Amino acid sequence: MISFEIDGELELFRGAARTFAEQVLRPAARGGREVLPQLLGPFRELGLSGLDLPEEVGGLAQGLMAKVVVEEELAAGDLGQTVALSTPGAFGTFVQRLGTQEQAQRILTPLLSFGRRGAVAWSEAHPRVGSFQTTAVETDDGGFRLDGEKIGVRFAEAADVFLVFARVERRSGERHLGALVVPARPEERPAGLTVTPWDKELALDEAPSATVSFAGVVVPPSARLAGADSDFDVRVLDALARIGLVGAAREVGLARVAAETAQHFAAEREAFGKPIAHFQAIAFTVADLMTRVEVMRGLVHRAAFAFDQGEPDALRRAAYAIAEAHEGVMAVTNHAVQIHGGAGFVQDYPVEKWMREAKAHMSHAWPHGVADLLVGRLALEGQATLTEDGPLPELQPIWL
Amino acid sequence: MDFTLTPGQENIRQLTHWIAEHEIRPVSLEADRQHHFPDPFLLKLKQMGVSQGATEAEDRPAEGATKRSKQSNRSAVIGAEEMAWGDAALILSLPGPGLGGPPIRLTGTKEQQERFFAPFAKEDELHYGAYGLTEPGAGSDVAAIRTTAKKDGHHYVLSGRKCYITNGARADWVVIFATVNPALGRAGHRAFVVEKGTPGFTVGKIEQKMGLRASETAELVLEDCRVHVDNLLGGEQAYASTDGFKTAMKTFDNTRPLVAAMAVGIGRAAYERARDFAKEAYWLARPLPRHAWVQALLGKMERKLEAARLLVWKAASMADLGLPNTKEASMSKAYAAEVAQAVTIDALEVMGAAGNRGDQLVEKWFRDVKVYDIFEGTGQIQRIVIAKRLFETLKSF
Repeated sequence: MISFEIDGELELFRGAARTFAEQVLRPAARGGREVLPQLLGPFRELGLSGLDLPEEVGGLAQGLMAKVVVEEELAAGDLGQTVALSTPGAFGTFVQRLGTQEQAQRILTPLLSFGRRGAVAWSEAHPRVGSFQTTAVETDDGGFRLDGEKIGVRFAEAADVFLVFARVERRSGERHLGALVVPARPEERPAGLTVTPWDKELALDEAPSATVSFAGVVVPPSARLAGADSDFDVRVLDALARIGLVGAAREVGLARVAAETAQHFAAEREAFGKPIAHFQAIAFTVADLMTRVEVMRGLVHRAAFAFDQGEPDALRRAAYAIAEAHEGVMAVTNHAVQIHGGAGFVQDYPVEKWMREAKAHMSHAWPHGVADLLVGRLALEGQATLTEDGPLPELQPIWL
Repeated sequence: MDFTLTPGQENIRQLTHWIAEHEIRPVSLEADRQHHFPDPFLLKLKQMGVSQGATEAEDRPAEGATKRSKQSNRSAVIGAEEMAWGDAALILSLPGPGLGGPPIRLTGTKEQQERFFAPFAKEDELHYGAYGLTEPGAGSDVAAIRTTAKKDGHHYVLSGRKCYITNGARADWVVIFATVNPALGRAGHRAFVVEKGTPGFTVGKIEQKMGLRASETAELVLEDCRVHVDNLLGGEQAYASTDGFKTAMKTFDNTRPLVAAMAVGIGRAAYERARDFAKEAYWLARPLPRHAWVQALLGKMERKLEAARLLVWKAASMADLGLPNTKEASMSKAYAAEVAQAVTIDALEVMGAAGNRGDQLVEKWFRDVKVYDIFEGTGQIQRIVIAKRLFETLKSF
């Protein structure tokens, strides 16, 4: 039965996340990376970390609907801190979807139980069509030698473990996509691994990025995630869609808080003798922003439902949600700044931060042109897969 | 949170789609060119059980049904989308009370309801009702209507002109809004049911339109037209406050998500045509840079239609639950109309010159859908309605 109501357990999760967002995250906004250590403890106590992960690895097995509802609330508090607190996050989704059960338990349990952090090394500065330039060449003992450079690796400096996506070259001559787990703590890093932190970014400095380079880095056979060899590409795409959907939910939260703040500002700020909301140029804009947020949220919830129900078009629906969220969050935060006028441009108000975060966040997930392209390709060809020289090279510049 | 159709809704969707595809689509082009659907065709549909889902949706839950189980608004929007996918003008041409139904059902006396709804029960005849609010000088600003109603004994004498009245010429009766005193504004408004053949009540010109050509749009003229007080909707006591105007507006609260659903249906028809065209021309397009652009554009069209559909479903769900949904209804109408228009434009873009051909239907959908951003409240009026809810704490907003 069609229902848009959030009730039961979902409502409890949402309430907990909203309270945390309002009481802890919002006051800590603009605190930069210094406040993060103080937030990690309270956030872990909240128990929302592994919401969508299965119980075997210490998750709550609540599904993506609970996850997107919670992430919207957290991001409405402060997006920067939300991204920073996101552990195991994308790393967890990949390991759980691509690793064997043994690998998932071994790698994820420390993250969920002891607050350790994983970092995903995906993007490259000069993507080659169809695959990664970073290579993992199989050695004589079955291990792998990594060579290449990854950019925009979030929390590379603070991570305990990396997940490195690479083009795997087997001794048999076979080539395929692969993901390898590499120790990341400074004292444990293998020889040849270098982390170069990035300077300040457009936004989201709470979750800083770095370049990670590999020069003959040797890892054992067990480093390669081996839970999905037969359909690795399909599972990578599925994981990317799930991760992208969580990002879209955050963008709903960011757009929502920006739209509501613009609404309140328009009701209070006076010009020409009355609140500016009385001018239709402003009132119509606010009406459109609110509509846009509803639209974004609808598609996110619909896609989460599709994943949780195992509907066959979940990937397609995730792509709708991702594209709409990217497009929407940029437009909404931009207009929110515009409605604030000069106040929107100065850092006394939060809206300029939200607008920067919108852009930074959307480029750290799926570019929305890619999401639309994927839908169009599904519509025309009936399939869209990620293979070594496959039909979706556009996914390569995705940053995680 | 759930997005699964009930078995009943799935049934409505499939059945309506089957009729849209096999009965309506084949005659759609010809009806557009002839500016009407043939009566025997309309009668056949009526006998197949195709009714004005748009306005006859059951307002009260069936006996024994709890409030929470009411599904009629959700079912209606699902059916309306499929029907509009077939042909939007047909929905407006289906026999029945049309937009005149809701005001009679919501404020008419028991006697009036029985008298005016009686003709529609006749199975082998086509009967229509209509809704006369718009005037040459009063469109969006409905409070500015100037058709006058002067009390004279047991009658009111109506004078004025009504325009853009759907089925106005063929209707058995029209709900006419008039004012007893323009200076009173909304408080002066009265709604009358004016029956065909009443002396002084005549049909002016039939409009030639950009789209929805198979639907009749008429001008109505009232010249010292004497209407008995029994035809004053709801009786005198219904107008102690400003209810006359509220009656007019209630109609729109009920129908905006439906109109939005129809826009989605038209947009979907255009999207599917463009997609199939791109598939057929695929071998040709593949090496061109334009190819990826077409793919992404189709992806965007699909996404926007689904987004609009979800807004419609939400507004309809709230109506079923008895929750105030004025804001959401207007959001769905404003958004769906814009999206559907954009999709038809993009569909023509994908098809290039082939899309303009008069035998392709897609150019018809482009023409048809424009009015969805105009009638039942323009996109601008919807934004005023939304903003009124968003800023209701502001004085004199």
